[in-house]
Amino acid sequence: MKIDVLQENLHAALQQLSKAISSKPQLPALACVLFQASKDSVTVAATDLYLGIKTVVPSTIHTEGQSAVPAKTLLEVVSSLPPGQLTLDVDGTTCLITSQAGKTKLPCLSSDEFPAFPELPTELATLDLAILNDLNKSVSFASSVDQSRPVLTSVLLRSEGDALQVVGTDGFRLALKTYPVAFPLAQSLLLPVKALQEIVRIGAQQTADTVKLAVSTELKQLFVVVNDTHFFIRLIEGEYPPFEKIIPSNFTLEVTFDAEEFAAHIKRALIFARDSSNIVKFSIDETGMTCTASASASGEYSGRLDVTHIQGDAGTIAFNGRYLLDFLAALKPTKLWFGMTESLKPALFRLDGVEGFMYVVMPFRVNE
Amino acid sequence: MSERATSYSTLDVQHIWQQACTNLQQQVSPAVFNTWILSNPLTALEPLGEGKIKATISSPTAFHATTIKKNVSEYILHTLTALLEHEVELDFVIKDPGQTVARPASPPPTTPSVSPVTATPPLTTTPSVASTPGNTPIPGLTANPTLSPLNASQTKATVELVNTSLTALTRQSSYSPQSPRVEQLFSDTTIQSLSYDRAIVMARQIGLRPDYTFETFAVSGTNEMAHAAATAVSNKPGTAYNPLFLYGGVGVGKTHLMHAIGNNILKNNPDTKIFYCTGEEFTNDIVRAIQDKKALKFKEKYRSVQVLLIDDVQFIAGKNAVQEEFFHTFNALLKNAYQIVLTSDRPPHEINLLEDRLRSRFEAGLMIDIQQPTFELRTAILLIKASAHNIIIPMDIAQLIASKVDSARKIEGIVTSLKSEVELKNREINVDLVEEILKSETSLRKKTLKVHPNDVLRAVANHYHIKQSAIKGQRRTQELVLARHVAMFLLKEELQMSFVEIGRWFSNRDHTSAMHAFRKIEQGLVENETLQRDISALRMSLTAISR
Repeated sequence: MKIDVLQENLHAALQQLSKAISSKPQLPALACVLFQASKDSVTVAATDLYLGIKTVVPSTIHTEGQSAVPAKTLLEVVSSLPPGQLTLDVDGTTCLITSQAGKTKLPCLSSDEFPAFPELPTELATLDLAILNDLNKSVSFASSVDQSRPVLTSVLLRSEGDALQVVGTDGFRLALKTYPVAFPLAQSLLLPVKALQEIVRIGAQQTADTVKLAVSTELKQLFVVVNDTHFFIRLIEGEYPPFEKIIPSNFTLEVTFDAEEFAAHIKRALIFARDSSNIVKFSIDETGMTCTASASASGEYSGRLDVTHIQGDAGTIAFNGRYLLDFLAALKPTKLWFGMTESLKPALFRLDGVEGFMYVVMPFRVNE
Repeated sequence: MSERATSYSTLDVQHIWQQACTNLQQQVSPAVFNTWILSNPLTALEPLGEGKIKATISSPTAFHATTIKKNVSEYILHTLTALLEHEVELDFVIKDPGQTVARPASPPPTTPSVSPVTATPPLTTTPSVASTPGNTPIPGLTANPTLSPLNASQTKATVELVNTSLTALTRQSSYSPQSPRVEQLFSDTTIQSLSYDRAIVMARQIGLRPDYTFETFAVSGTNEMAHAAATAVSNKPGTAYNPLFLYGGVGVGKTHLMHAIGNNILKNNPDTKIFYCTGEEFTNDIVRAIQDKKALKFKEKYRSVQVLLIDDVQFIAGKNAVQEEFFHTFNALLKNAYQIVLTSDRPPHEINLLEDRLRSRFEAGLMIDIQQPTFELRTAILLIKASAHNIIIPMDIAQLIASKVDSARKIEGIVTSLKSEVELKNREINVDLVEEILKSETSLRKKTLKVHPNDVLRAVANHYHIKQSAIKGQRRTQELVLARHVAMFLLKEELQMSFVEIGRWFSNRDHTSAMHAFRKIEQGLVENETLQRDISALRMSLTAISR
């Protein structure tokens, strides 16, 4: 195999693969990038067997061929080289990279040892990348990072009537957003948040408008195509928690208030909540809300926030302040609507004046 | 082992795979063995006939399956063929390795679990494969969830099955968040308490009265059938009795039972789509839909419900377009086994101008007659209502009221009056107070119907299936006399006509005959239940015309 390629292009392509290269590979081949030079294009691919990414590198092909090149060294070499033309020449088990700066020789493996990629289905559905961008911003923060419950490390995409409903939850809080577009897949999809972030990142780099999707239930594989980049994602299986059942439907207290001021109070309160599981307590009455946190060792904080009272009695509730900050940081709302019933039942946040978004948080048990 | 080529138990399969692993380990490199063989176990053996056996390999991902097919399947095929002494065909399925067979010699994972924070897990669906540093010579796979049937103690804690149901998930709270005392969002208690809240909200939206439940319904001989049927329907909507047709006079508890059915269905499943309306609202809705040319929307609205409750369905009789639409709605719902509950003041065959096809459909379900409450039941109702209003009525007073009041609805009014007298005027509940209230109740209720005497005659004639002229005429058969007396009674009672005037309507009879008729019916009403029902049905039809 012999190809000419621009350093800029190869570097960009290798970076796109980075999330699919495992740091502790089970097989030497899994630490490699597979080059495939055919008559009309060169693709590079990497996989850790659970996520696979394959993309096209614009290049001039002298001779066709395939080879697996150790990824880590290759990436280090390529990123250290100056922009401009590189020549990759693979002969047997040696890869020779020639640039203006100098020559590099890397040992490489036969492409046979590299895992075979599943075949991309022919029928692909289309989804706006803007929607993936938005849901990544407004829903995925609520998903879990705990790998022991894989279902919760993904976001759920499903049809709700004519709309697309997206849900993320870690079992303690839940974000839900509804988009007025049809969901193109036949069944609902659990999209791993890490893959989603990678798709969104690469989509932004490639300034793509849409992504193409396909699911193979037989292969347990999700296929996502962004321009020339193909993602092969192991489907997450399992039952998503019955999220509809924990969205509160009636409230004994409803208020609206300024979101930035609210966030500022929580940040100050959290200084004193570090030793107490980030508990911040909120007492709401007809004129305002008091945010308090205290630590026996370091001190305490109490702040007052104006609220527009809509209806209901006074109420007290305590949350993990982090859960609220996560949400405020991700959505950057200006004004919030808040509804609760009892201090031990889930409470609901909405963005005042914005339809289709809900954030449900489970409160703490507060000892009076 | 060849003699058992017919079928293989799970244990056989595990045993064969262990042997195969031992053999394969000598043929390939450790890395290949760990990646492509150990994590892709044999999970089923199935004879295909002609001495062939299908061997199913379960791979965690499609990458594994495609690569094994390409690179390693030869070794596996060869080994299995040798072991089974039969021709083997390989089949691949992608499955989460929840329970797989491990090589017996597999070194035990020294740490039971890997911290999700320090590990840098790839996008896996299996638990993290990152191994704890310096623990094992074999890279990667040792922390994988491999369950050894021979050495179950090795298997602890690393595996949390993906396919666990929610309840299992919430109970296995192996997750230790920063917040130790925060309840799980999806715990049974949270779900239950929210579903209870939602049932109340839904009931309010649907228009069901929250106090009309089975718990507040007093049961005795006159309504126990209806109560039993309603309970059955609400516990198994669509399957128990469909449609359920409840009929009976004013204030016998039809509406209460209907609301109770709705409330109970919501309590069992707050997401059930229930629609509740009266026959009159249904009629108005159709008329409006036709006027606004939104008939299609109307159809969608009524045919998408899972439980349809229509109160006083007799109102749709005689309205052709309405009956037509109702007929189709009825069929559509019944076809999907969705529950229909109807109430009426009289049985289907007595609803005049009701289309035959509707009548036969109503009669195809379960029809239950609710009788006027007996004296004992009225006393019970009174006591229930009183306790709902937090007032205590002594038994003798309760019996006094029950003996003077005939319908449950009036009892409600009297309880309300009693409550206001007690609370606002600080009066004591005694015989005098009750007498006073009963008197004012009866005088208050005297509201003249705005109908023509002809309407009364027509209604009575229709009700008894007699010609109007016969009622007015001179013949004195038993049937005719009853109808005539009822008509006279209604003219006096509801239209406040003088006896002289009433006499004139009936072939110029004397005012004494009218007086006699009035007293006769008045007395009859105290104990004759058929008469009570006739009068209340007639009153209702007249009220309908009056408006």
